[in-house]
Amino acid sequence: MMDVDDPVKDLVKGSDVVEAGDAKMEDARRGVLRESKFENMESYPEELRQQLEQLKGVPIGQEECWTVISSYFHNSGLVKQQLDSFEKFIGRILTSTVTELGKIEVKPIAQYRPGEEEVDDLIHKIDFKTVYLTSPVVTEKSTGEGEASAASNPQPLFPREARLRNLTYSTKLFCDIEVTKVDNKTGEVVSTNTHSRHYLGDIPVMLKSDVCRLNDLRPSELTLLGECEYDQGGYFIINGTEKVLIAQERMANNHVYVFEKKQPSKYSHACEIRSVIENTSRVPSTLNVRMTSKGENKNAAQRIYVQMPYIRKEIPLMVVFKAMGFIADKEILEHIVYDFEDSEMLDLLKASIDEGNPIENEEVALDYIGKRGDLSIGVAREGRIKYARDILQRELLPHIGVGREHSTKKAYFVGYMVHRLLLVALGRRKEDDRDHYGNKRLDLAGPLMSGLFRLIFRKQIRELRKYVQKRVDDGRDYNVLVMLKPATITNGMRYSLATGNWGAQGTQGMRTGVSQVLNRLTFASTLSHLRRMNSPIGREGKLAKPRQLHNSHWGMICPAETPEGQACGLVKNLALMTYVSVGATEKEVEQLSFFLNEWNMETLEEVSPTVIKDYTKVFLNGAWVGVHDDPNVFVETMRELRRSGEIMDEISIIYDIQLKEVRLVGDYGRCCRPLYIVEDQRMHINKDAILALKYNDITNYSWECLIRDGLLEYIDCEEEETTMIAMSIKDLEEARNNQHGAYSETYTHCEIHPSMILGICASIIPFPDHNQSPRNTYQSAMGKQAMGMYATNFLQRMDTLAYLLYYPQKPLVTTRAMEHLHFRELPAGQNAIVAIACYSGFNQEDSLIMSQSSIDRGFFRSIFYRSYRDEEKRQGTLVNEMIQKPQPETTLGLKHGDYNKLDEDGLVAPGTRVSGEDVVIGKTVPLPLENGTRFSNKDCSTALRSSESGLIDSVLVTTNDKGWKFIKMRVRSIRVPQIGDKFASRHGQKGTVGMTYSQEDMPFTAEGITPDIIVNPHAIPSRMTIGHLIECLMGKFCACIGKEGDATPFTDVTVEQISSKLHECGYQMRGSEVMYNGHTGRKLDTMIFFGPTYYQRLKHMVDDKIHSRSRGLVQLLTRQPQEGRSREGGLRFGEMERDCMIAHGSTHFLKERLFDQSDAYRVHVCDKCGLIAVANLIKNRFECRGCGNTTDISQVHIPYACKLLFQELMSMAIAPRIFTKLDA
Amino acid sequence: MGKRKSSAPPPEKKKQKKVPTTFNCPFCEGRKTVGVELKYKLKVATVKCRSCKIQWSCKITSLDEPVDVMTNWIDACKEENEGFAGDDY
Repeated sequence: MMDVDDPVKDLVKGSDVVEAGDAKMEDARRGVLRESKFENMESYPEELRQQLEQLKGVPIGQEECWTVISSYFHNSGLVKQQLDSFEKFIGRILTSTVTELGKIEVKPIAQYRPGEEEVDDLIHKIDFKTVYLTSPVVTEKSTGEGEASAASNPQPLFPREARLRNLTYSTKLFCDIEVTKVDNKTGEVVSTNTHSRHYLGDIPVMLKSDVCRLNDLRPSELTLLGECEYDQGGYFIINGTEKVLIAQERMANNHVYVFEKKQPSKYSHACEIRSVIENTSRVPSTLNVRMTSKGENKNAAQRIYVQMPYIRKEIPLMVVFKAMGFIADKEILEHIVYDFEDSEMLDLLKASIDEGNPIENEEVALDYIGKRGDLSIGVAREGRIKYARDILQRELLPHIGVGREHSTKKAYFVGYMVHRLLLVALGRRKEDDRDHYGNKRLDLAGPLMSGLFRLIFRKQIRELRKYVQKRVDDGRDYNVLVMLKPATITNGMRYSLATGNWGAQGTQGMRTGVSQVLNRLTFASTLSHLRRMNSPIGREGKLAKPRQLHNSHWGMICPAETPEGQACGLVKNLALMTYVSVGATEKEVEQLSFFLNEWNMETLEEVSPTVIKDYTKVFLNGAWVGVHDDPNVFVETMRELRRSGEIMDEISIIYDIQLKEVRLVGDYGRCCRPLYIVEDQRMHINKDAILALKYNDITNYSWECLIRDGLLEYIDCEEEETTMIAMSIKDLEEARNNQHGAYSETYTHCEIHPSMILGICASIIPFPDHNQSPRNTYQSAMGKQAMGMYATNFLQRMDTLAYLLYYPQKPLVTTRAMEHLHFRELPAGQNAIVAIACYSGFNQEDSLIMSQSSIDRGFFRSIFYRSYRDEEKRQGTLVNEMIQKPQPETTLGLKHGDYNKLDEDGLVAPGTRVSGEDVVIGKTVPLPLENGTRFSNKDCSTALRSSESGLIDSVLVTTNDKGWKFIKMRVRSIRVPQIGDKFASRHGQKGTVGMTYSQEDMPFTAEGITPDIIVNPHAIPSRMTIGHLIECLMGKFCACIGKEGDATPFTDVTVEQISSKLHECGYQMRGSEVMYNGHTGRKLDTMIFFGPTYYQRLKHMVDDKIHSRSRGLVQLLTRQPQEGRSREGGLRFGEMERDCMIAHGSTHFLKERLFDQSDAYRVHVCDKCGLIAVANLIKNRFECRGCGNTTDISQVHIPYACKLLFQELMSMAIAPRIFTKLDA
Repeated sequence: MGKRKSSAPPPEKKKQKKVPTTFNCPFCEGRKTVGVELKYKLKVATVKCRSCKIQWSCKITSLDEPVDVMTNWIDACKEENEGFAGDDY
């Protein structure tokens, strides 16, 4: 495993390897608090046991980090966030939603209808009890031709079949429903009826999640099921298309934010919180505490107001406190200003205190609030007070609690918000940073699906209640199951996943683009798509801040991978080791609060306000729960509890010393990342753990054990602010050995490896740390268009579009992260021999010269697959489409293409060469029988795209979910590189082939080597892609020794090292070589930089773009040429082109382009009224219908579009007149 | 070709409801005919219906607004009616 003899890997290996028995070792053993625990050590081989014993306490080096990283990816894979999130939905939220929402109680309302008997006074209770889920299944619909019974049973469904047959990969949701009737007077249960296992609907299943059939299968089993063994899952299959749910970014709830308001404004500062009870579907209730600004003259008193939900006007701060039962000013102030010595703060509150003076007691205050609520004017005082009380209890800060017992905490919390506001107003603290990633949360598949399910299910329940109520009022019987149609849930979920419009169909303000079709161009693009996230801010917004890279993105979000243009910085990608928290359960939060009390936290109810200034506040999920007098010990213990697994590992513990508060946060959607834990400048992890990881088949030691043993922990963005993280293990050593020279001596954590800050696409770039940063961004976008091998099961898939490289190669120069992206197994490029030279001038302006001989040998040869699909639609008994070879005698509307390649079954046989507009799937619709026509059918066949050709690769004949006959047909075409095809290195250096030369015309070295590609040197200096050059240099050396090179960023490899190694191989140090002109044989004047570089073939190829038209079809409406290559459209001579021609004065040419060659038309115009006249050219009769004029009519040539415009105007009662004579 | 603007206009944002300043008259049933005049300096406010000219005044504090005066009036009316036969207001 440790390739010591590997000279390339040797380049990066740290020199800090401490051997056992070293003097340092003893030193290292001291102070080790935590260590790896191995189970069943007795069963290990003697040798291993001894080694583990020996390595105990030996600090690890940088090289060992890669073992840790490997174990992380082995354990988590790359789409863990998606899977975890979905599993939480299936495992916890689905059940709780059904049981919580599925509780209905209906009492009959007396109708007092004459002649009707009174209804029995029963309470009808409908309870949704246990929820059941199946494994993914499909229920076949029979076509009506026999074997109907067999078809209606659900059959097991595997993803491959779902993809091929355009099915939805989903489970069936069942539920026990209990209907109880209770006598309203006696409380006696009259009857109970349980509908067991009622089918509620289908829930789409995420692949590889714990409900998926592929969960935990071995690679060999996956292969047998027609799956790619490297496929990571994390997506859905809806109607046969793979769909990803893009993580949606939002601001964190239950978080106090203080902002300065932009002046001029009524307010100077605002403090806000969006309070939400965790795991419920209640709408967030916002509380705003605002301070008025000083006004124009800078001398107005600054008062504080509170804006509460359901209260129409903001309420003076003091009134709110008085309504909560605090009357005395001192009592109120104690909740806001903890330190009465702080006269500055007290002064700032003076105006607010004075304002509240007129209100003397709780009831008056409540009445004051109640009057401003949504009540009508006539409501009595008691009603208003009760209303206000209810709002304070339920709607004010619900995350603290909605019971009466929480009022003390709420008063303290409002006070705290004011305190925070005042701190900013006094200039003691800065306003909060909206863009800090600790303030952001990600909604992944789980929360998105839960929200959707809740929405649909609630609607269904609402309708059920309405129905039952109506039936009960009428004294009739009801059947619950009638209202619970499975289609509601099935279609509701499927609609959102299929279209990406998140929410109920037809509602306004839906989020769009939440679900996207999984990108299958390259394996890396698939992976990257599964880790994408979106900030739903308007793309037009000019504000740059939310788009910029923030310090807190470090390690969580890839700094390079983001699109260019409108979505720049709004669409982001997770870094490699980012973990998104799934959120603690209620139980876990309860347990946490138990621990808090256990460890001497004093609750707010039992503490005197006067001591708060000396104590540290304790917050749990945004709610202030208590205070503690010894925060250091407290925080230490809490951390210790987390590291020992007593409390959940994803709960973050933030000790904010400035604010004197400890925050414990455990909500879902936080970005976390693992770090080594450091204590006394020493990491808890030691070499024994590394060894155990290496022999994990014996020791069973895995990533989870590292977390369990407290060697590493997950840190989120907010907690990260309270840590001191060493960048490398060397920094720690430095801190240990050289205390004065070290950067810091207070490290709490250490990075696993800094290269883990990158995302999927940026991890493919060799030496990204040597490139100008935008180049890495460009490559991150380009890597997604590279051809390669997107999955190992490509022959078993029927993707609408697929690109494959004939001979993909693993890169000669790699990064360590690529190993976990399976880039070696599924590569997307080839190692080309590249010369950076000017040669003949055919590689100017980012074009390339390519060796034709290499191309002939298969260099960058690729396959392009396109699949066509069709189905036999059936509507009733009349419209029954038939897939068959259309008979020209009886079929109406045949296409231009060739029908002869169709077999009798209406399909083209595999292996047939097809081109142009050949018909590949023949299909007809029957026409209604009419006398006098020979046509009994209409043609609706599928023809090949007009500009494409190829061979029929395979044909799939099956049935779809409706039971209709269903065809998919894959056409293959071979693409050989040619002039105009696009290629790129891994450094944002893209270009098209400008010329191909055969080998004898290419320049050659003394060894007789010719390049595959010649790049123009002008591509380098302004773009500063030094990584490109180093890759080439290292590639050359690696080719010499036949090993992979390590191009991981942030390692110790230097150009000097590579150069000297290359020199040792007998080449010029800097990779240049003397070359000879291929045409003349003469030596080139300069030496040429020459060596292997990994190149990618991008999907843009000339053959797919080449287009010209002299004449052709026109649009029906405007009679102008069609648009687009696929319709053989014209090339638009647009406004800017028109402007040029005007500037040149080329009017005749202009008229020819815009009129004669476009939509020339002639109309007849009445000379008197100027309106269009009726003309019959055959009979030579003209007439203006308006004025009856039949003689004075002129023929005018105008564009058809102009005529159309005139007619449209006339339809709006506007008369555009064309006057043919000047004096008219 | 310029894209067609999407047919549905963006949904109107819910306007936050405001605390009313004019009210329906409890005597003549006039709609929004009652106005309130607040004299903070004199600490007195007057409610007045412009259709039936009914008028009522009371003492106010610096925090009081039209709603407060109006509700005070209604409360006062109710108190007046207390004990009398007939429907309550």
